[in-house]
Amino acid sequence: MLRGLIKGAGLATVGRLPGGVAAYRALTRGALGTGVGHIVKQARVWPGYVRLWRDACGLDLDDAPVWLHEPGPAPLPALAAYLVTGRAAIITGAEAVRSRYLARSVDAVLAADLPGATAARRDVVDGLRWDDDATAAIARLGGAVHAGVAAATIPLADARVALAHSGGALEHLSPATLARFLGEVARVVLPGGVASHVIDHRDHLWHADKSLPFMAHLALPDAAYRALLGGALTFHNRLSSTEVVAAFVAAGLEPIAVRRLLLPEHRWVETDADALAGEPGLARARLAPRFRGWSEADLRTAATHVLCRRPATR
Amino acid sequence: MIQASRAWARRVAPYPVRVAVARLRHLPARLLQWPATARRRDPELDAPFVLARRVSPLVRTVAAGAPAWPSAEEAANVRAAAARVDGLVIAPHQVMSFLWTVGWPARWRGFRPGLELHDARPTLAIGGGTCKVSNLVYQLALAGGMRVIERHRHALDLFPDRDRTAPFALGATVAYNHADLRFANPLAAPVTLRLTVRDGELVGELRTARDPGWRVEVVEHDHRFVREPDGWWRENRIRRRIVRVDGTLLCDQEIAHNRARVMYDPALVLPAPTEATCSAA
Repeated sequence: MLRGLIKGAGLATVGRLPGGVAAYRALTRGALGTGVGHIVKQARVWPGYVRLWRDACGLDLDDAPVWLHEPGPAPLPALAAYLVTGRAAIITGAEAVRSRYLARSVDAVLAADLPGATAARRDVVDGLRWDDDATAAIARLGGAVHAGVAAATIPLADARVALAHSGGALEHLSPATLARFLGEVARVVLPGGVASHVIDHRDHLWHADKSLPFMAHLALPDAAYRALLGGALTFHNRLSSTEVVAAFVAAGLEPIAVRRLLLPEHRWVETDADALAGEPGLARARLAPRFRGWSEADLRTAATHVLCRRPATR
Repeated sequence: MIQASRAWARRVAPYPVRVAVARLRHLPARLLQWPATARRRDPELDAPFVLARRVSPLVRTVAAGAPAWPSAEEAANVRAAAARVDGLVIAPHQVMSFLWTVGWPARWRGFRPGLELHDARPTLAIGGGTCKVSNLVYQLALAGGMRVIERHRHALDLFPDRDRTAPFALGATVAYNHADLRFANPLAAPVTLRLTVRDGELVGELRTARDPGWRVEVVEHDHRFVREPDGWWRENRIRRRIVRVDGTLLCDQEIAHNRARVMYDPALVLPAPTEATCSAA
């Protein structure tokens, strides 16, 4: 508990200082190499994502343009997209891709069991381990990196990509910004294309201190939450799974599947009834008044993977 | 404007003051580099496959009739630096930093006064001559398929190529703490640096547990001497190709564009240098 509180206090303070976010990222992801955790996780989840896009969404991934929003400091997702589709992904986000993670990403992505990764594509990715500049390497493979991008204004043309994906990014957008971002998704994705976004509902301090309830942030009323944890490094929109799916629908996207992550087994389920088997994130009595109306399924959903399609005609 | 200010400071501030300022300016960045830097030494590590091997004579006669270089003092510095590098294990994606590995060249750490270049002038300074070790480590890094992150070339070409087998400028100068030689291990397996001095030679090897399945070619391009208004200059380009044993090209990149002021008469190298560009290839 103490560890989580100390980390929360530190992040809340640094996130409000001028230049604090950049300095924090330079120290942690630049010097200390904390982006390695992203690489391990992304290499683990990407094969499953690819199978979902191909099998559950019926997407033909070969030569499909892919857009990834806020994939973190490691270039692994862009390389994974290249292995699967034959062209690197277009990346947007506030943060730049860091070249120090390029060789490690190459190792991890080649070790992952990615469907569609041909020998020729694997050779190309293998050669990138000697590259000095991850952004230039992604560009050579047909992708692009747009850093310093606001979520509400994505610098991509209309109907540009067949697949838009993010993981662990959208929970940091305010509800109004999320609505604008999803409007951008509906604009940028090709008719019939797929939007695939994973929203982590958990209190992010739980990731540092598992002794906290995983929905501990729901105990605070809005005013207290904004005052304590509203800074750039700690903000979480605290939307439920149901509210997130409604935002996708409001943006004109048609749900294909809504998958919920249950703890403690880290198991994905697709129905509200199945979600009741998960552990609740916080006792209902401890929820702030605004969250007491949440369904049991939402209270037990640690993360939601929303898979939507842009209708062929709008 | 910035360049003019720097040129003015260079004229006005004495060399030791400029070095002190540079050390202070680089200190935060060097401290931030420490976490990713290889520190473990294990000379017994089981690493039978030799990725690269280089041998350099400890004492070289640079020209007929000239005194041998380096001196006994400098050779002692080479031994001291090599002993600190020998056995260093660079884990996958870790960085080897020459400065963090060899450390401050102080007298109490076993270093002696040796020849260094300050403001393009030969000077005696503690640790002078350790560039011989950094040169060899740089060559091992290139030939062993490491990814060089930081390397500073020598600004002067001091001696003609007598008995030199490596291409011109295939070395790295180091100066504590503002000029480092750093390279990352891009492989999925650890590599180890072995440096020993025996029979008057500095012998370096970069080793790993098993054959990674590719070979490295380091080639020189566009080597030439150029006459400019302020004297003779020498330049070249170094490329590296990494090719899998089945012939698949994995990487082909320019590693360095070297350019240095020539401190000797190019006639020693070129039979008939002209005012125009001469090719020594």
